[in-house]
Parts: sequence; C-alpha cells; structure tokens
Amino acid sequence: MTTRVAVMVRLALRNLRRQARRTTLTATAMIIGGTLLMFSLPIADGTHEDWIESAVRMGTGHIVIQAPGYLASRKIDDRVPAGARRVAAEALASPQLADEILDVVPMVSVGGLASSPAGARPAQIMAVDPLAEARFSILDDRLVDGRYLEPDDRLAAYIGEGLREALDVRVGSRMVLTTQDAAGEIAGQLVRVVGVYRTGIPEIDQAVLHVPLATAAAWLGTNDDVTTLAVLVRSSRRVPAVQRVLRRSLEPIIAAGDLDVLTWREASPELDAAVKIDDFGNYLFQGILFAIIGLGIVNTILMSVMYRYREFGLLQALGFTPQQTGGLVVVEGVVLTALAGLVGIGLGLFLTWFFFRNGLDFSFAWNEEWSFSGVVMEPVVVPVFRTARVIQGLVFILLVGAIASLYPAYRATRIDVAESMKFER
Amino acid sequence: MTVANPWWRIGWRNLGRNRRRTLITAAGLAFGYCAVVLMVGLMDGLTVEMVENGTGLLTGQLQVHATDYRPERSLYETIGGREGADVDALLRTVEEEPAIAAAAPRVFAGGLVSSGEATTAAILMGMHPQLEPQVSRLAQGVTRGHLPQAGSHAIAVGVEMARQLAVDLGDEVVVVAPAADGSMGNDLFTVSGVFRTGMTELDGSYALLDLATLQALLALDPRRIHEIAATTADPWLAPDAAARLRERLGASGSPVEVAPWTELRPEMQDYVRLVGTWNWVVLAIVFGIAVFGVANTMLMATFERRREFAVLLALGTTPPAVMLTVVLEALALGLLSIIGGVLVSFPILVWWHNAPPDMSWAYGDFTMFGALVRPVLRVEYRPAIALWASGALLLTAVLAALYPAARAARIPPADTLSGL
Amino acid sequence: MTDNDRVAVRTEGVWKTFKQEPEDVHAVSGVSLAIDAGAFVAMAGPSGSGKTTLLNLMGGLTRATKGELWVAGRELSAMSNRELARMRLEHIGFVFQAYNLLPVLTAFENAEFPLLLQGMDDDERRQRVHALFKRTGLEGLADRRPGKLSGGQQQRVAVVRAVVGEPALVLADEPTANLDSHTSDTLLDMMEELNRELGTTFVFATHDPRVMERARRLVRLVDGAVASDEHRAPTAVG
Repeated sequence: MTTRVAVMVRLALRNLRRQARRTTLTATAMIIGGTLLMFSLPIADGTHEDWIESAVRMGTGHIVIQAPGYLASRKIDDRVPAGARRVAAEALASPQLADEILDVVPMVSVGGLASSPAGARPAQIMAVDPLAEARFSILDDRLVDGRYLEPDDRLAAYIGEGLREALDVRVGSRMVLTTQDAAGEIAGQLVRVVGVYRTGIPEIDQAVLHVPLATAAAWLGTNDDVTTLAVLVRSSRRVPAVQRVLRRSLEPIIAAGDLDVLTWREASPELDAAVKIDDFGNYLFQGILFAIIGLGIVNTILMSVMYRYREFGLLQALGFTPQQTGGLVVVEGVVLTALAGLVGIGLGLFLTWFFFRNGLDFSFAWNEEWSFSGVVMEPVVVPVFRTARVIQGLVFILLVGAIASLYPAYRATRIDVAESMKFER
Repeated sequence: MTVANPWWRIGWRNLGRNRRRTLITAAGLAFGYCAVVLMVGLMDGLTVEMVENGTGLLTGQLQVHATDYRPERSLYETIGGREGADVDALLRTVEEEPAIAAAAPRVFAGGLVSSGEATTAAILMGMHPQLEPQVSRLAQGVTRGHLPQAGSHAIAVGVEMARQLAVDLGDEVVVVAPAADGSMGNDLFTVSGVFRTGMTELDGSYALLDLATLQALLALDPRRIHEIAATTADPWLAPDAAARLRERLGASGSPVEVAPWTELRPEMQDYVRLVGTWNWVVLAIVFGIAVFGVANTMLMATFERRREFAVLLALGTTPPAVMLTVVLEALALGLLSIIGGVLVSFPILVWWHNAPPDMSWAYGDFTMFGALVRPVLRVEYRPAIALWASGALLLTAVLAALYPAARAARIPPADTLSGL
Repeated sequence: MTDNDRVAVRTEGVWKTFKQEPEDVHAVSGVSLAIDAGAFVAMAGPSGSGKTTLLNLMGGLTRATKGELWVAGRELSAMSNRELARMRLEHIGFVFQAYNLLPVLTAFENAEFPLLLQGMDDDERRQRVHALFKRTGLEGLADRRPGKLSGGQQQRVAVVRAVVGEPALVLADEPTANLDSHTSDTLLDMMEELNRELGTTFVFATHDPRVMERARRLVRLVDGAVASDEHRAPTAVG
C-alpha cells in the first residue's frame, strides 16, 4: 500500500515537472494565495488582539466579576459585597490561577452627573485604586494635561478631553459630581480636576472620569464593596479556561447571587460582534480567493488528464483500476497544492515577520481618532503568529487542492482503454 | 474592419474548441467578478448603514449652530447670541435650500432626571414635536406612548433610562437642570413616551421635552435655540448644501456655523474614503490571482496551436497580428465571463439589497464611530462598480494573454511546420 | 525589370547551416537555381537532402546562412521579419503536406484568408474565391470546416488558399504525401490546370514519383546540393 502511494507521488512529481511552465503558473497563484493568507491571518489576529487589549484596559478587563444585575443596571444597588469580594480575591490568588492572572483591579463604577458653572453632563464615574489602575488602564497613558491620580489624592478627578470641553474646566478647576449613593439618596461631591486624557473615542472622552476609590467609599457609603473586579489575564486566549476555573471555585457565592464571572465577550457584546464580523469578512475574502485559485487548479489538472489520455489508458491496460487512475490524479493535485501551499505559507510567514514583526503602520489610512465598537483602532498593528493558524491554513490549502482534483480525477476514471490505445500519435 | 474581422472570428471560435476549459476559465473570471461586485456592495452597504444610522438617528445630515457652540455646547451659546434669532425665519431659510428635506430646532441641557427610587443624569433635548420626527429617527422611535406635545409638561425617555428609573407611561419624574440665569431649574414632568434606538448610550441618556417647555425651565427666551438639525435626501448632498446655506445665512447677518455631517463626524468620512481605497485593493487582489488561471489557459491553448500560428505566419500574417488573435481570444473570454458574472451577480445584488439576509444568528449589533450597525448584509449596487469590475476583468484577460501571445508570435514557422 | 517578369525565384550560392554537436549540419550547401515565372518544378531527393529547407528558404520562413535569394525581384536576406511577412502575403503561396487549414475557419474562410490580410474589399474577395471554388469543384463544400472535409478536399482548399492572392510563386511541400493515388492525381490535375490557365509558378518538394512525372523541370538534390537539373518540356507560356 505504502509503496503504491510512493509510486503515485513519484509519478505525480514527474508529471508536474514535465509540464514545468504550467505547473509554475498554477503554483504561483497558489503561492500568492498562501502568502496573502499568512499575511492577513496574523495581521487580523493582531488587530483583534489590539481591540481586545484596548477594550479590556479601557474598561473592565478580560474577565469581569460583578453582581448579576449590574451589567444591565449599572447601578450602585447591584454591587459585590465586601465578603464576596474577599472570596473572589482568594480564588484569584489560588495557585491554579496565579500564573494566568496579571492583575485584579477593584472599582466602583456608576452613572452620574458632572457639573460646572458652564453646564452639566452625564458621566460614567469610575472610582479606582490609583496605583492598581495605573498598571492596568491605558487611560493614564493618554494624559494630555496635568497628571494621573495618585495614592494620596482625595477629592481629585481625572477626566476626558470631551468632558473638559463640555464643562469648560481645566486642570485645577472644581466640579461637582452627583449620583445616587449606597443608601439610595442623591449625593453630591466636590472634586478638583487633576488631569485630562484623550483616547479619541467620543463615548469615552465625553463620559468616563476616574476618582480615587477612597473618595467614593466615603462619598457613596460603599466602604469595601465594589461594583466591579476587573481581571487582566496573561493572554486573551486563556480567558475561557480562567473563566471556567473561577466559576467552579466561586460556585457557592455565584449560586447565592452575590456575583457573576463574565468574559469580555459577554460584558461587551458589541466588541464580540465586531471581532466576529471582521473574521467573517476575512474568511469570505479568503474563500473567494481560494475558489479562484481552485478553479485554476481544476483547469491545470484537467488539461493534464486530457493530454495524457493515452498514458492513463496505458496505465489501465497495465492493470491500474479506474479508481487508482483517479487516485493518481488526486495525488497530483494534492502534491501540487501542498508544495505551492507550503512555499506560500513559508513565504507569507517570513515576509510578514521580516517586514512587519514590529508592527504594520496603517496611519496613512487612519489615525487614533477612529473607533470601532467603542475601541480605538490602533494605527500600528503587530501581527500575531499562531501555530494553529498555520495548520488551519495548510489544511485549508490541501482541501482546496483535493477538491479541485476531484472532477479531473473523475474524468480520468472514465477513460475508454481500447479507444485510447487505438490511435498512433 | 475587414482586416480586424478575421481575428475576432478566429479568437471567438477558438474558445469553442475546448469548451470545458473555456468554461472553467470563464467561471473563474466570472466568479472573481461576482466576488468583487458583491464584496464592494457589502462594504458599501455597511458604510451606507453606518452613515445613515450615524446621521439619521440624531445628528441629521447638517446642523446650524452659533459659531462658538461646538465643541463645548455651552448653554449660553445660542444662535444669534443673547438676543436670539427669529426661529421661524431661520427654519424657512434652511428649508428653502433645495437639498434639504426637513429641519428642526433644538435646545440642549445637561440635567438629572429622578423618579422616587432612582436618579440618573440625562441630556435634555428640547424639540419641536411636529418637526423633530422628520429629522431624527430617535423621535420616530417612540415605541410606546408619544412625544411630548407642544406646551405640555411631558417627557419622553429611552427604554434604558425608563428601566433605570423604574418608570413607565404616566409616571412622574423630577427634572433638575442648571438654568441660564444661574438658578437651578426644576419641575415635575409626566412620562408620555418611551423610545428605543438600539444604542444603549442613547437609550440611557437622552430625554426629550417640548422645546418651549424646556426653554422655560432653563430660563431661555423663546428666540434662543442651540441648534437646527436638517436632513438631506442623500447624505452626500449635505456638504454642498451646507456651503450654500453658509453663504445665505452669512449674508443675513448673524455669525453661524453650518456644518454637514462630514465635518461633524470627520472620522466617518475618513472611513468611507478608506473603504473606497480598500475596494481597489480587493479588485487588485482578486483579479491579480485570476490572471494566473487565464494565463495558464491561454498558454495551453497557444501551445496546442503552435502549428496554426506557424501557418498564419507562413501565410504572411505579421507577428503583431498573431499576438492580436491571442489577445482577442482572451478578450472574448473576458466578455463571456462578464456576461456570466452579470447574470449571476445582478439577481443576487437585487435580492440582497431588497431582502438583506439577517446575520443576527452569527453576530449581534455593533457600533462604528458611535453609529449603530445592524447585523444584516444589505448590499448597495452602483453601476460604476459593475463597470470598474468589468474593466478590471478585461484588463486581466488581456494582461494574462500577453505572455502567451508573445510566445505565439515568436514561433519559428519553418521548424514548427517541418516538424511533421 | 524584365528579369522579374521572367524569373519567379532565384538563388545564388545559398547555404543553410544548422549549428550542431559534434559537427555543424549543412542542410543546403551552395545551391544556385533560377526558376522561371510560370514554371512547374519538382525538387526531389531522399529525406534529409535539403529540399524542404530550400523551400522554406525560398518562402522566407527561414533565413539563409550565406548567399542570396531573390523572389519577385527582391533580395530576401536584407528584409526585416515584417517585410518578409509582407512578401509572403503578396508574392508567395504555401501548400503543406498536412494541409494546415485553420480548423476554426470554414473552407471558404480559409481560402479567403490571405485576401483578408491583404485588405481586399468584400465583393472582389468573395467573387475571386467563388470563381476558384467553382473552377476546382469545391462549391458545395464552402461552409464546411476542415474537420468535415476529406484529406483531398482539404488539400484542394489549401491549394486555392495558396493561389488566391495571385502570388508569383506557390511552394508545395510534399502536397500528396498524405493522399491516395487517385486523390493525388486529381489534385495534380487541378494544380496543372491552375498553372496553365493562371500562369502561377509551382515549386514542389517531393519524393512522390507522380509529382516528378508531371513536373516540367526536375531538380534532384543530394546532401543539400543540386545533383541534376532536367528540363523536360518547354517552359510554360510566360
């Protein structure tokens, strides 16, 4: 059996070499296709990784631990009590998870009104631990004026450029934050602007502001309760596993309704949709490209069968069954696509790595003003290389080769042996 | 024509000699054509959806403000300054511009809306109950109840806000807002309507009130408004309409800013431009790959016909004329592919345009540049795209034929003919 | 240029050498021949004697290594490929052993092809081809493609194609080799008649005795050189 396959592969290779020009042309299309595939997949993965990273660091982490009703209500009533928070923190610190988790950040995040003498604006008030948040968030990196919150700050606020404009305030100005406190009363708090950031996302720049967690604890009467524990995981691919482990270890308090463990996909369905539609678009485009390449392969192999009508007839006269003749054709198609596909994949990986390993700069096309489902589109995309993607690409290419060979193979099985041997030349 | 004639005939008939090969090659090209037209159609559909939702929901395609109103949106920066303006005359002037379909006056303020149980911050928007629905889909999106009527102390809130405040139609809420005279305006309002836009930010933060009622609450003179929002029949008419309006309103005295959506949301326009560029990339890649298939077919075809080319040359055909037969054959193949491509793609385009498939099983709503995009694959079809794709296809066919054609023209007739 | 009117093709010390290891091959070695207008000449010799090469040289399909070739009063070696193509189109007709009709064209279209290339207007072209089809008994076959014609029929169409442009010279390379004896005779009758009535010059490369019999001049080639040159009848009226 193996020798027969070896014979077939050898025959296939020789035939491909015999028609070197035709083989080269078909292979070139495949190589370009493979190269494009291995360029676009890492770039798309890198883009999505950027989106996730930016969304995760601007808000609530890869995994968010919060009260079950909070996702819908965003109200302080739906908060994680101090006791449950402690249990969650212990679970996160367990040896099983410690390696996977980069950071855990507590926050109290509520909707409220920010007002100054110039006017009033709805705001998303996020009370954070300044040190932890500086590690975790990217808002502090987007500073345009003043400074980020510091541990000793009390009545301080770090606001977005959009909100600063709307309220006509500057660093040092005072403003009043108003929201509902833990007791259900409307509570106001005077704060001083210490810094201004700018992300380019209107939804964030006009609404999100940071105040120290200690300030909120006193002002809102939340003490050690939080609305959110944002968890940063080592790699976005580890998120489902971490969520599973957390859910299992927090089973009792989840059942008690004190908290829930959500991934970014559940917490930001819009971002999930954006990643999915972008992937969908890429798959569609690649499907189309490889369908065109596949048709080229069908033609090449079919012509090769037609030119070798006599030769296939001879093989059958020598004792090849029609199935084996067809198999030979499929082997030829697969060998051609495998060789070209491997070269293409290798070339794609190499070129992408060589030219763009430090990032592909799209700033000619867009800038940091661009947002997509509440995420800034970073103009510099760093490709992400994954073994799984390479295997996926290879399997895809081989599949295209095998499918494209089927029709020519079928034609080869139907050769009339007597007829094919009858005519000289 | 008499001279060109036989080349067309020969090229065309040669295609018929190996029908299967011709069909497969043409299928590849036609498929590429369909792919380009459909993908460009999808991208166009996406941008149209984004622009329509981004502008039609609330912004309008064009806005008139006091020069300093944006970006601070201060309560005091009303059109015409402290004196205000003749709102009716202003609306008439805007509506006289032929590209404008409708216009509506607006007043904005930040405030708190409070039910007995909960309080939330809101953007209060004073609007004209008859004019506003012609401009924004937000006002059309009142799913239950109705918009506040003129002079009434009624309020319409988004579903999200209604849920947060735990209020429903007929319930009373307190609205508190800093007024223009430095006082805190506050009054009792009845919820007359609940709207749903699908965008949580809007559904949770906007509250609609009657224009005059909100002006009274904010201690603003009835002549003082912040904004006139207008719609145009086609979003792309807005920039020119804005330029014309700017001239006309500028002549009438008060310093105003007339901004089309392309200025209000420049990133959206950038995106539309990027999509335009991306469409070219799609075109180039798809046909760039297709070139090889055609080149291969033409190469096989010319190789099979070496003797015939040798005869043509022996009969006194010049090498360029031999090249021409090959190129014309490829061109005929291209035309065949275009016919096939159009026959397949056009019905799909029409169908997808009129009954876009709902992809919500695969993914949900998402937003781009703050505009909602629904998970439906609606395609736009523009004749220009079909023309460009056809042109690219023919170019592909010709380019792919050049190398085989050059080889055919260089065949040595004596050696080839004496080979038998 | 009275010389032109009298002489259809003339070679002066023509050599054709193919570079080859270990030794170059002289397919034609120093042939000097003059063929009068209106002649009906056969060049005979065993295969490899250089007759086909000489024919190709006369037709400008290949270039001489050395020597001069004159067709219709013009020297070929100085011509560009484009000029050679023009020369073939206007002054030379070919008939091949394998007929070599264009398979995608009908018999009629094949025959009119050189006239199309010359840019002759439609009416004149059709008339001329019709007249020849009638004369050669091909009328009923005008709309058939070569695949639907017998070998003899195809070759007759090929002869019409060769003479339709009223060339100074028709070069026929083994035109009867694929035909049975009866068909060969009919074809040769037709060519003789055309030669007689239209004054077309025919030069054959052949080893078919029937062709040699009918030729009025027989040139025997051995190893690329003229071994004998025999005039067997008065030259046709010129």
